[in-house]
Amino acid sequence: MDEEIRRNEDHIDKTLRQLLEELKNAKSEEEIELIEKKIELLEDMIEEKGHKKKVEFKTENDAQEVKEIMDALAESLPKIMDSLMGPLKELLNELYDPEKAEMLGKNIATFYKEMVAAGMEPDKAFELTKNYMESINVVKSLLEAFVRKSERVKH
Amino acid sequence: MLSSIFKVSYIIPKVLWHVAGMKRIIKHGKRAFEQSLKENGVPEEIVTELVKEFVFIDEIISVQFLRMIISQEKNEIK
Repeated sequence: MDEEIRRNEDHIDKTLRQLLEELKNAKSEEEIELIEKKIELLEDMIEEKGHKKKVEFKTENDAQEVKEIMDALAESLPKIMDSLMGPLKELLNELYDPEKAEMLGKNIATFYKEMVAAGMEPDKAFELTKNYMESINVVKSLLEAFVRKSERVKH
Repeated sequence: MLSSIFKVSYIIPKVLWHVAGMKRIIKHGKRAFEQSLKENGVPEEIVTELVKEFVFIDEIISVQFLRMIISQEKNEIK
């Protein structure tokens, strides 16, 4: 790549010197006009090369930036996901443990049956049981508090 | 670069695997709770309602819930 650039620069140098020589030795106005046209063409070529170089440099920079972002993501995202998912799974394991769920079911059933046995209407007993369940459901109260807080932040 | 893309895209199945694990945990808890209520003589309709209340988190970890949140966000943006 560097060699090619050097070769091109040498070539441009040579052409410029040649044109200067020709300009010095020019005898007629027609010859001068022809040389001027050649110089203009050369100028255009040089400008185009410079623009291409700039574009190449920019795309190289962008690619490097994307690579860096992807590397950072690949390094940190799995760690973040693991640190989130692990404790969440453990919490669920704790809350929805079959043995604990069975105990909770037993307690709630006893609560409901006792109220019905005491002469309360089944609908009313059901409402109270639901309230009782809500009060002992830690996850729900936590989530509700979280939702309330996020809504407050939004407003 | 390619390895980074692979690593990032590998997160999706990993998250789905974790979510499946969570669903399994909830399902086991739900089954134990339901069975316990039934064994202790709670009527069927009440069992269904109470189980729904118990596993409300199962609804949160679902595609429908995700869709609902996305549509809400879209509406807020509009």
